[in-house]
Amino acid sequence: MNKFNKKGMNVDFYTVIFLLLNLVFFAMMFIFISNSSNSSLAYEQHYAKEIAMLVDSATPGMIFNIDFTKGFDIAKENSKLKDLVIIDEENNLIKVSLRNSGGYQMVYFTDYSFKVRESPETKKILIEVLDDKQ
Amino acid sequence: MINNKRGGEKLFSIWWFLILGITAVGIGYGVVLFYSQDIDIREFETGLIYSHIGNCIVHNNVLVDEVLNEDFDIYSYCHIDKKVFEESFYLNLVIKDDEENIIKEISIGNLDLRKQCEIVFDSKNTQKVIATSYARCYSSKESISYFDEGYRMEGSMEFLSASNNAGKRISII
Repeated sequence: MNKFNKKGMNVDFYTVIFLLLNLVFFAMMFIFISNSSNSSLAYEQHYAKEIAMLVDSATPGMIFNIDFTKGFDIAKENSKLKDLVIIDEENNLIKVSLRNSGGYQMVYFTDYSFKVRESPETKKILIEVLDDKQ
Repeated sequence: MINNKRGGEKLFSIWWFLILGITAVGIGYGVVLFYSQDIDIREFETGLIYSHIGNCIVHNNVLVDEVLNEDFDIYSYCHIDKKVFEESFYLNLVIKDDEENIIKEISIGNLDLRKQCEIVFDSKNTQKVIATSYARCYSSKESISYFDEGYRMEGSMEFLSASNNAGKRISII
């Protein structure tokens, strides 16, 4: 049987480039969707609003022990190690950031002072409500 | 006969990438829109205002005496930040005697929110219209006691709180 002179598919240069560009496009889309769906956007908002509501219902002497497991996990993925929760007493803002480029802020209306402690080992955030703002 | 026909396969790929680009923009927009949906807590905040102020000025169903003073400052007495409250919140407190005469009225915060409450809710607190960007409102009427010249009197407290507080994304912490 003559196995010679059989022509295979003629793949030219432009087709290869075309296929490679398609591959690059779909890879970029996949990476974008994966990054968006790790939910740092949603969790930042969730935690900021949860903490704002706790702070609005606070009285001096209270200590809030907030389960921040998901927040620490997401921050670790984004290589953000500290200052995940900041209470800006001057402007009455709760700022939560689980990534290095930005976060979410929420206003609260009470006039107390707070002390925030992050505990990555127990994955908790402790917020102590002190008396009036200094 | 038409000479020098050029094959269209290489040129068609430009349109293909244009369509891919439009598809990518559409998918990207949809994903960002989905994951950046706002969680609306304004209704909870109206309740928090009610409980915070209520716990501050009413103890064991008796109105604190200082409330009826002319120079009563609810901001400092109840630890509320004035600047923040006047921007995104509203509170109206009406103390009445048993004959429905107004003894004291306190109105603080953003007055626009009160108007929004009047538009959205009727006098029986039923929602008339759906307005998602308007404030969320809470109202209640309760019986309370108060002291007038040493005598314990019965009266009522009408409470209206509103919140149109929205958080926002920030680019730098």
